[in-house]
Order: sequence, then structure tokens, then C-alpha cells
Amino acid sequence: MFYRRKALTEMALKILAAAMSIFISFLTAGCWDLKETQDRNFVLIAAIDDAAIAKKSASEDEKARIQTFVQKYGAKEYMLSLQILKLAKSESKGGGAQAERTFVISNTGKPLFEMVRDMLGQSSKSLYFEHLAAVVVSEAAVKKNGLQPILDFFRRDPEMRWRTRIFITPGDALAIAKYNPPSGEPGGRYLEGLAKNNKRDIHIAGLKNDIGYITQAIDNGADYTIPRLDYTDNVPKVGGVALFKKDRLVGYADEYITSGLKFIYGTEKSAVIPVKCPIHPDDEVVFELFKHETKIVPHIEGENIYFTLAITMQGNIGEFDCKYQHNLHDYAFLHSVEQAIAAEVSQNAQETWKFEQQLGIDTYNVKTTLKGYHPFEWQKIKDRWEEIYPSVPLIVSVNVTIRAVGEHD
Amino acid sequence: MAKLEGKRKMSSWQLGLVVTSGLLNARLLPATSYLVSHAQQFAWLSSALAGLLFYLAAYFILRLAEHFPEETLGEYTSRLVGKRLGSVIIAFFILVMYLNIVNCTIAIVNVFSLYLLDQTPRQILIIVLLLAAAYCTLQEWGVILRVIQLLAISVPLLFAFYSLIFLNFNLLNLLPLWPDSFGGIIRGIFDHTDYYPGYESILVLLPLARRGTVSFAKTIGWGFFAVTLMYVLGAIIFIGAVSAKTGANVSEPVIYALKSVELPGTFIERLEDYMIMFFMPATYISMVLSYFSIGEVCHKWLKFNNHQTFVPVFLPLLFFVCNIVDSPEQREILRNISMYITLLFSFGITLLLLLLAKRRKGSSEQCFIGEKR
Repeated sequence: MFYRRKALTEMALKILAAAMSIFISFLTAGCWDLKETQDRNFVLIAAIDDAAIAKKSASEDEKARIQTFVQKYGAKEYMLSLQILKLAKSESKGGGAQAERTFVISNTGKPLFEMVRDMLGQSSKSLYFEHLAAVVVSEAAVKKNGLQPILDFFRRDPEMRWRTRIFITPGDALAIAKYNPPSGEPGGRYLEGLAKNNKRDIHIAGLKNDIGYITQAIDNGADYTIPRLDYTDNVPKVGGVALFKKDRLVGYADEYITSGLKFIYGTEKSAVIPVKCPIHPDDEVVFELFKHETKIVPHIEGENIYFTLAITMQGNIGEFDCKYQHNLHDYAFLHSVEQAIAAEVSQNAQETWKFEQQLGIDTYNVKTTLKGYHPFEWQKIKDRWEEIYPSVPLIVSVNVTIRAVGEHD
Repeated sequence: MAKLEGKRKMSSWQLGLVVTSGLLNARLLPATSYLVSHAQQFAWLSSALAGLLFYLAAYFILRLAEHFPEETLGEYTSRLVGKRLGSVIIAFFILVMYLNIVNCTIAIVNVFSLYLLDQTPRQILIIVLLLAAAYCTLQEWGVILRVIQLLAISVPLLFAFYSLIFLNFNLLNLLPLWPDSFGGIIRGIFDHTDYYPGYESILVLLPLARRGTVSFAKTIGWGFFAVTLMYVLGAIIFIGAVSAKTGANVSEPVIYALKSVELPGTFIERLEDYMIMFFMPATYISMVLSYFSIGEVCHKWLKFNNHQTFVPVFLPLLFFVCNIVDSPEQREILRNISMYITLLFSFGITLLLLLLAKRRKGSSEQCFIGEKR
């Protein structure tokens, strides 16, 4: 009797297990989340402007009326334009590589998420942001409410990527979203490529200013930079940076200050640094950097606070523009070139440091460095830091080594 | 083909592997924001101290279980504290295990529905996961053991994948090395109940382990050491990569950190999806182990033929609770309740039982307490 009951129980369990596996198969056989690639509209650029640009002419006024929606809450503060990838081959004028690979749809309002959803009235497919390559924000839009309300949508939605590039443009972001590069590549990928060139172009701010790093800076109450993107008559150009104190755009820094920032950050990987020829100051020697390390250390001696910056650089002679023949295998001369490069880098770093002090911003986050190295002293001065910072000196030491003088001398 | 059904016993190393491979699971995903918000950049220190504390708890549980090497908690508790109180303690144990399954399910389902399967109804994800765990638990212990051993490979793989976060490491985020307040670090230790769940299953698993040359304390200790090392290194890498402030501001900090990784020179994207996939088997181990512990303790307590009978009994209740806990507030309440219940069981009830067992055992070397049958 006992064995029979046991056998029955085992049989019942086996039936239950089989029933469970069939049930699981039913639930998982289909894919609830299946969405084919061609059923998505891939957004490559999100361009944010002041909504006022949507109404520059009478015809545009009518267009702007369509490209928006009735809002119960919020306001018509921003114009959001999305550059979308055309998955099908374009058969428009020109054809081939020059054909437009993207199209742009726009909307006005606030908040951004509501605008994105309203844009589905212009897009037959769902808008897909996982391949978003760049966010371009116009100066006018940033000045309205700061950067945080604009960035919130891109930080909150799990579809977004943290390494998405962001640019600030003094002009219209919409024009940049509409730009079709002559290379035939989609505009978003083109902008991403420009940003990636920061490793080789000392004038392009890079590495630590994508959405992820800016989010970290905002969370930690730090100041930060965003690459500046200019655009006029079908000519885009990335160079210089927009400087942000917390959420507020403080101003712009030119290419010279940008290179100084990169020298201090130690983010430059392949810069080209021109200096005067040590013997003939009217001509130039160009140093091509390929290894760069920096260390910034805070010091407190009594009441005195100062920072030391040690920069180590290695590279080649990339170009020697001097009209006069110099023997680059003369080590004494080569050493004088190294000193000239070191002096140039040191001066650039010093001037950049002073520039930031004058504006009262701290994009190197030296206050965190100071707190990190001297936590007890920091407690004493943290309330006065805004007063102290503009007069804190930076002592720079640069060590340059020329590893090679080029292929042909 | 190996007859796994017939294998009821495991070695002491297998016991160590089974108990500790279930520790690292999806529960740590939401818990990391609590930990980082309390301990700040000293999350690694909290992890190290928590490792010691929870191993101590596991050690006490082991000592208690070793007093009754051939019995589970379901058998000896009533002899120690009486039938009624014994039933309450067993119910408490079941609750600890039950809450672990619920928390695991909610944590992994939330991550899946947020990042991978956002269109699939949450209920479907819950029921599929629970059915999969129940299906494994319905097997004999030999089969469950083999499944856990196979899936445990995902734990080191998960950590290896997670280590890619180091690419964004910035030492400055870990400074200063002196905390503003030690209270946060202490609070962070208790936040680790989500990092060390389910080790209480020792109370059920010990009779299934063979005594070998290596002590159970040693094998479980090595497991705890490995997991704690992963947590400490993981916390250092995490804070270095994303900073404590940002870590505290995101709902799934570990996923966030991996989302920030770009592998230079490769076409591999969306690394976090791979990591979520690795979390699945790791979480499954913990769920199956807790589910088995519930079945096994009920089987011995209520004197049924096997643990399998109780697996379907708990399934609707698990689904019901997993389904209704669906808002951040409810999740936080559940998390806090789970934390207090687990801590009370590990550091209160277990210690009390251990003291009673020691007292009643007296000077006898024989580990038998109560009336001889």
C-alpha cells in the first residue's frame, strides 16, 4: 500500500513537472518584445533650440503650429529636432554617396519626453534612441533654464547611452541636425567622429564631457566643459569649449585655453604643439605628442594653499619650419627645443588656470582633489573656498622628451 | 549517464560552493544605491566588514547545525524550545527563505523589464521565473546540486564582466580616505543583507553533506572570502568609475556603471545586457536553494515523504507577493522588512538556539538532544 502511494506521488510529480514545462514553453515561445530593425526610426541627433526660432517667418509660423501640440502643463520653451536615419536607400536628386541619409522632424514644447511622444504624429515608426550619437544644445536654449532640465530626459530614460556626445552651439542646433556631410555618412555619426578626434586635435575638448561624465559632474557639484560646435553655411567646426558652473553657462573658452585644459587634465593623446625655433624666433618647430601624463597635487603650508602640476610629455619633431638648416642630431640643440616646448606648455597651463580663476570656475575639480588629499584642512576652509580659489597659485613643471626627429631630416 | 537522483550526499567543498554561490545575485542591483548613499566612497570598507559579520553569522549557524549533524532545523527545534515556539522558529526560517525568493524575483524581473523585455508583462516574467525555479526544485537533491554546480560558473564570469568598469576608473572618486562620518559605514554593513542572502540554508543542507577531511567552516569560509573579495574589489572599482554621489542617484547603479563602458577597438555594444544575462543564473541558484530549503524543512518538520510536495504549495503565494510589490515604496518596505527579519534570525534566533543547544548538550560529546527514540 505504502509503495503504491509512493509510486502514485512520484507519478503525480512527474505529470506536474511535465505540465510546468509545457506551460513555460507556451509563455516563452513568442517574443513580446520583438521589433524588427526596419520597424524602428533610429534617432542619431537630438537638437534642442529655443522655441522662438521656430517662428522666424510667416510660413514657418504655420509649420510651427503643426509641429507642436496643445499643452495642459509645461510651456513652449524648447524646440526639439531629431535627426533620423533613413534605412531605405534614398532615390533623391544626386543619388549615390551624396544622397541624404537622414531626415529631421521637429516639435516645440516642454518637457522633452512629451514632445518626443507627440512626434510620433510625424513618424510612422517608433523613435529609437539607443543609437543616439550626439545631443546638440543651442546657447539660447541653455540660457533659458540651465542644462539640467534639458539633460534630464537623456539621463532618465534607460534607452539612452552614457557615452553619447554633447555639444553646445552658439547658433541654431536645428541647422546642425539638418546638415548632411559631403562624405555621405549620417550627420550623427559625423558629429561623433568629430568628437572622437579630440585625441588628435588639441582644440577639440574631449573624453570627459559626454552625458555620463557631465552627469557625474552635476551629481558631485563640480564645474564642467562641453565642446563648442559652430555651424555656418554648411560648414560645421568643433573647437573650444563652453564652460559651465553647476548648471549655468558661464562663457566660452577658445582653442588656446582648450589646449591648456587638456594639458592640465592629461587627456591629450596626440597633440601638435608649435613653438618658436630656439635660435630663429620667427620660425616654428612643431612637436607631435604621443605620450602625456599629468599629476596635480594640492599643498597646504600654514595659511598657504598651492597646487603643483607635473607634466611629462614624449613625442617627435613633426615639422621644422625654420628657414635655416639646423642639425637635429645635435643633442644640445634638441635639448633647447625640448625646453622651448616645456616653457610653452607651462605658460599655456598657467594662463588657463588663471582664466578659470577669473571666471570663478573649477573644471579641473581641484576642490575635490584638495578635499581628497587634505580632508581635515578642507573642513576648515570649505566655507571660504570661493574666496580662496581665485588666488591659489599653480606651480607647473614640464618634462619634455623628444624621442625621434622624423623620417627625413 | 550519471544517476543524479540517487545522490543525496555532497562533499564539504560542494556545501561551501552551494551556500556561497547563491550569495551573489540580482538583489545587490537595487541595494547598491542604498549602500553607496550610506557608506559613500567607503562602500568597500562596509563590504569588507559585512563579509566578516555575515561569515560570523554563517559560522554560528554552522555550529548550531553541527550539534545535529543528521537533522535539519525542522526536526530539532521543537526539542530545543518546545513544540509551539519551535513551530514559530521554523515558520521564521521559512519566511527568511521565502523573502529571499521574493526579493530575488522582484530584483531580476525589474532589471529585465527595464532593460531587456520592456514590452513583456511583468506578471509573465514573474511566473516564468518562478515556474523555472519550482521545476528545478521539484527534482531530487542530486539533480539540484548538479544544476547549481553548472550555473555557479556564471558567478566568476559575472565578476569578470563587471570588472570592465575599471576602464573608467578615477582614483579621485575614492578620496578622501578618511570618512566624514562612521555611521554611514556601519549602516552600509547592514545594507549587505541583500549581498549575503540565503546562507541560512546551511540549517537544512548540513545533513546532506558528508564529513570529509576539510571542515565545513573552512569550505564555507573560503566561499565567503571569495565573495567578499569580489564585493570589496567591486565596490572600489564601482566608486572609482562612477563616484559615490552618482552611484547613490541611480536606481540600478551596477547596470549604470557598465552602461558607461566603451570597449576600445571593438564592435561590442550594450555590455550591460550581457551582465544582466549573467545575473540570471546567479539569481536562479539563490532562488532554487531557498526554495529547496523551504521544501526540505517542511518535509522534515511535517514528516512528509519528500520536499517536492511543498514546492507547488508555495508557488501561488510567491507569485502573489511578487506581483503586488510593484512600486518603489513597496519595494523599499519589503526590503527593510526582509533586512530586519534576516538579521533577527541570523543574529538573534540562531544564537539563542545555539546557546540552548550548548546548554542542553552539557558535557556529552554525543550530538543528540532530547528523548531517544
